[in-house]
Amino acid sequence: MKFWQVKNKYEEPNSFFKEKRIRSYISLVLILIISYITARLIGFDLILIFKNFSKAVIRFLDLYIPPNFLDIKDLIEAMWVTIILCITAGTIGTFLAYAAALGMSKTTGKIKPLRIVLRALSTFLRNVPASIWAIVLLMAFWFGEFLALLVMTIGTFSFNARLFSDMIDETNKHSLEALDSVGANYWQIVFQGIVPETLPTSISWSLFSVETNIRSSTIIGMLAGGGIGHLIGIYRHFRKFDQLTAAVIFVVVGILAFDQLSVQIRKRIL
Amino acid sequence: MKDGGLLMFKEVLKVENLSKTYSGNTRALKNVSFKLNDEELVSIIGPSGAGKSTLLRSINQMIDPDKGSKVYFDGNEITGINKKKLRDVRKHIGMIFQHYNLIYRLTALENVLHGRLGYYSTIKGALSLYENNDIYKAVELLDLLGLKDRKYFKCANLSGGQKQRVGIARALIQNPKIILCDEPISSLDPQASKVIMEHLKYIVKEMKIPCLVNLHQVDVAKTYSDRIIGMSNSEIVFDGHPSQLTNDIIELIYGAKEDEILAS
Repeated sequence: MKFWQVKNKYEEPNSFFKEKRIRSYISLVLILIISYITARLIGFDLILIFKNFSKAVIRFLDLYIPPNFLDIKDLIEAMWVTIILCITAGTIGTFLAYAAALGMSKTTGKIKPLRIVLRALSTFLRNVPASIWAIVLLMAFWFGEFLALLVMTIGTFSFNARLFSDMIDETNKHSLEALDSVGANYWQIVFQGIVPETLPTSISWSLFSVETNIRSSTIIGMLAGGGIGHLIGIYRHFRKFDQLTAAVIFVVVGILAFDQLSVQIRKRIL
Repeated sequence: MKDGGLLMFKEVLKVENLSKTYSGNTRALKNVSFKLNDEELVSIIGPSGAGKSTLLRSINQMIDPDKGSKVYFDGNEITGINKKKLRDVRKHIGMIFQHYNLIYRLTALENVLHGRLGYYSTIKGALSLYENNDIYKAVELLDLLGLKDRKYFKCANLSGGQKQRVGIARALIQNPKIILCDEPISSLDPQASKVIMEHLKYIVKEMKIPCLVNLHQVDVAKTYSDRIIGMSNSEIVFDGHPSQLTNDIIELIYGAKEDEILAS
């Protein structure tokens, strides 16, 4: 075989696909083997699950269906509190995140130590899960709406701060150069250049934060107290599973409604 | 400062021994010296990487030139002055860019008013508390540049030529003593380019604001300039009237004859 023939591996185009297919089969087999080994290691019995699956389904339906809207007044009130908490946490967190992002970004953060401290802080806050914050802060702030608010604010802040600082770094440097060239100072460039260019996207992300907050409010409310999550916790505790289903339905409807609202808002600002 | 000769033009800008060395010993400018007088439209031509952009940005110190470089603006040396004074100088120097460099989410009117930021306090500038005089002036300039019905358009929705005219209005509202133009027509089609160059000519002759223009198009430079500066390899190799720009000199600047340069 000549030199160039060795280099050109696929003389026949369909052999390229043949080899690709073989590679896929090997990967699939490997994944199955790994799944089997790990399942054996933790004593996960697939056959037992299939055997008892119908029993589990029947039990599930028995416990959770139909949903019981007996406490509808409580549910509505708790959902209202949840939404208010989520919006408040979303806005406060977003504001703080924007301020921190200005200090964190390479474009606007002129003080290097501050940049490093803020970056470390937001990374730390972000990498501790919200449920852990709820458990840890419970000792200091006690059970209730404020703790839930605090935990969600931490979540929104830490996530958005990182996001916004990347966003500020990506603003068009050319546009900022022009403001610099007319003799505008730092805060003028921030408010006339960076804020207008990043504001719509920031608002969009803050809406997303509120959505995430509503989603996580179930667990956070259960751990920290307050809102619909708290109610879910109580239902679970007293084994009122049909009422728990009703609460979950409320959360899902809440998320869907807010999602539609944010779609409309985004359409108008972006 | 008066020019001593027959022409009683005022000397607005004087550049002496301007050098710029980037890290890694790349020399972008080598001892560049020239003058710019009142009522002059001076073009700087040269191949990409000759140092045209660096030269322009070294004048208002968007790029810090090397030590020993001297730039005199309106009779005063502006190299090595502090940040506050530099901002004071910059508000008198208009600048127009190849990529327009507008804030695209804001309207044409707001972008024009950005030209006044140097004259405002931090708070007033940051919160857009512009004075009525300035707002009317901005409107007047937009009308003058043929953007009467585009005042409240977001700049993202304007065409290239319109964006560049907003850029010109932003420079003009500064009441500049000089306008630096960094390849103002390189992103535009021929018709829009012509409009922009006509506006620059008007600015120089009627508004009496001298312009220093980086250009890629030799024929445009010949048509509109009062003087042409040719740069090659970070140095000025030609400084004279457009009629003196012979084929030999073009070859010296570009390393090729004019008819060999595509779309020159």
